[in-house]
Amino acid sequence: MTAPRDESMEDTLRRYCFEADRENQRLRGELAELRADLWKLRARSERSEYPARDAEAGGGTVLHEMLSEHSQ
Amino acid sequence: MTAAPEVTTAAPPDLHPDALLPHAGALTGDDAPGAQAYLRAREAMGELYASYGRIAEAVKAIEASEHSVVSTPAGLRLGRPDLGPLVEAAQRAFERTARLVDARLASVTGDRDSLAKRLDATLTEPSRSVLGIAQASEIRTHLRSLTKAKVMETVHAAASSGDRMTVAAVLTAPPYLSGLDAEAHATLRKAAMTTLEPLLSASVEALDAVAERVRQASKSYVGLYARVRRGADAGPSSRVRAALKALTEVRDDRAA
Repeated sequence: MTAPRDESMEDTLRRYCFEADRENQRLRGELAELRADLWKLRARSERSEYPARDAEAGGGTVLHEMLSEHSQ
Repeated sequence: MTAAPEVTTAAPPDLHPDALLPHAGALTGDDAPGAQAYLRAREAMGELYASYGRIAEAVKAIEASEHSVVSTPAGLRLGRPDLGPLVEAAQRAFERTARLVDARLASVTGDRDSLAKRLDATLTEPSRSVLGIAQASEIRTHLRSLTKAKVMETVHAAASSGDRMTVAAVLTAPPYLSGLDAEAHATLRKAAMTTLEPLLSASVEALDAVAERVRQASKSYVGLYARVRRGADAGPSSRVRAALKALTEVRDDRAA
């Protein structure tokens, strides 16, 4: 961001805020797209992860931790 | 929205997904931050509620069968069921539910943390540009010249009037650079969050509450499963297992 030499501080800040808002909107858009991708990947990994986890002897989850606390 | 499980009297109502409704306000609606996490939390609650109901129904059925009269070589007596199959079935249900709830809870807390980071980044963003860094430094120098009460008043007023620069100047630096202690700094951060970013702030708070509800529901569920296991451990089948184990492990010391 380059400010014209004769620009007042108020104008500089106004311009800065305007540009920051625009950047904010752009980032929000990017974030929404990334989030959508993330959900797709997460859904895919959960589908492929479950059979492998089924084979495990259990344990390692929050509920298993609670159960072991319960048993003590 | 995922379908709510069928209502049953076998499971406590605070495990039902609708127990999350008091926190739904900030998490529902088009494009609401945390909406996906809320759905995941409902799925976790739905699983806990349904699984609890199924285990409790099975326990009830077993208990009812205890009162049946059975014929034995020694005569008629009250039947004592073998709890082994119940425990095996409950264990399978528990393993499935534990995995699903774990994944959903991780998703909820992950989204909550992302929102909290986004909230923090939004509040401190104005003081990260070249101009912002210089201004923030000047603002803090000015604030340090004031009393602590006056700093609090000034920053509160800045937040109320939407002066994000002043708020960011305070929040991006350690408390002492603005003439504050940690407690006052934390108070200002909280006030700035709710004033300048009410939507995000409410979402983070609601997700904290929702995750806590899921944890509480998980504890109830674990409590039921632990009772089932304990009941089986104290039952006749476990005594039979223990007796058989002792019998197979007996050694004849005289043979040595």
